[in-house]
Amino acid sequence: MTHERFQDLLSDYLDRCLSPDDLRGYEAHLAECAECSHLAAQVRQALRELHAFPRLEVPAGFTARVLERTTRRDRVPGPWEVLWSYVALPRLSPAAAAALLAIPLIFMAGTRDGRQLTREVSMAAHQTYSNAVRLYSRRTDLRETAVAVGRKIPGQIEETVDWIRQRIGSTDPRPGEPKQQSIRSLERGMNA
Amino acid sequence: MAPTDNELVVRCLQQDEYAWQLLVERHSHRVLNIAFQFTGRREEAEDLAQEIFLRVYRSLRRFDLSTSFLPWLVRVSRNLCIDEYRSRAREKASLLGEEPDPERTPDHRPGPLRDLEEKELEETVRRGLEKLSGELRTALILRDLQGLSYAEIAEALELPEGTVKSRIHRGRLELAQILSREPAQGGGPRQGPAAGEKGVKR
Repeated sequence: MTHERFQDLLSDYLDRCLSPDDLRGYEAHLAECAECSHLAAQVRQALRELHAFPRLEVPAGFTARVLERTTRRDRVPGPWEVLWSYVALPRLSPAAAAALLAIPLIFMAGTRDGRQLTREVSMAAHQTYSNAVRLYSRRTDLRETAVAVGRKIPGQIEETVDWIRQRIGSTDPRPGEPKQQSIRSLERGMNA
Repeated sequence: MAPTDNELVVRCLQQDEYAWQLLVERHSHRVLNIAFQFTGRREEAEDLAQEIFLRVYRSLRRFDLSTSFLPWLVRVSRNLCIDEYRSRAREKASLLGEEPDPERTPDHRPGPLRDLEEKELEETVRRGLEKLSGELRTALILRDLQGLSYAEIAEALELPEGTVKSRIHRGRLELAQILSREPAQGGGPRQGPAAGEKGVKR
């Protein structure tokens, strides 16, 4: 067997998949050729070191962390999250704020309390929008931010309506002015 | 009888989260170690393994159910590891060969002591693997560290089996030459198994 043939068969020999004829020729050459014997020993040593390369144990909680990053992120988002994921896009945020302002204007325009309410709601909407912008500045991931802000919005609207109700509730109703009806309309509009 | 990987994939596609959990548990060790063996860095292995599972989960619909899951998983893992390797190589180049800071590469293995000899061996083999070309390194990792068959590697790499065999053979020879030039553990001359044998004439 030549040196070249021996070298070609080396991996097959180490993987123990030589044919009986090749194995006999290989072992005969191995016994008589110091050069090839040295090469075979070097490769065997390299494989021993490779096989001794440490294996990592799976750290505790690894599966839970993978599940957290896969299935939970892919769950179906709630309606508020879906709505906000669109509304909270930077280019749409001013439009969303404007829509919030328009709601009281539509239902309350023309009455004295309506004008007062319009001002109050305008301030509240501006505050809500400012909060959203502030949250944006803290977060870099757009989708996560949108979802996070979306979760806060329902609570803020309820607080805003309660606040308006308290402020208006302190004034006496004028005959013929549909204050309570308008408030309910406002709530219906916001919950729509 | 435990469900096969492909059966679990089918259940995953039907939104069965438990099937996905089983699949992750079954292959965590392999994926984590592929990540470790390709990057050579313990502290990056878990993050990379999580990324691999994330990509696998998102690509499940593209998996061909008429083929075996393992080679496909290995292919996805290897592709992500190579992306990571390239990105790190670019980063390394930009840092002008900055040496790794031991403070930033802590050993997270449990236990009070880590065997020094094992650590040196790990470092020697890691350096040896890094000196191989990407294709030889991949073939060697999948064969001699992951223990995949030639057929599985051929399927994972989408190469003919003969090409895989040739790469493994060349990889072993080159690694043997590289490691034989490395100083032995402890800094002295390497006492290989060939010590005492006659010198190489070639």
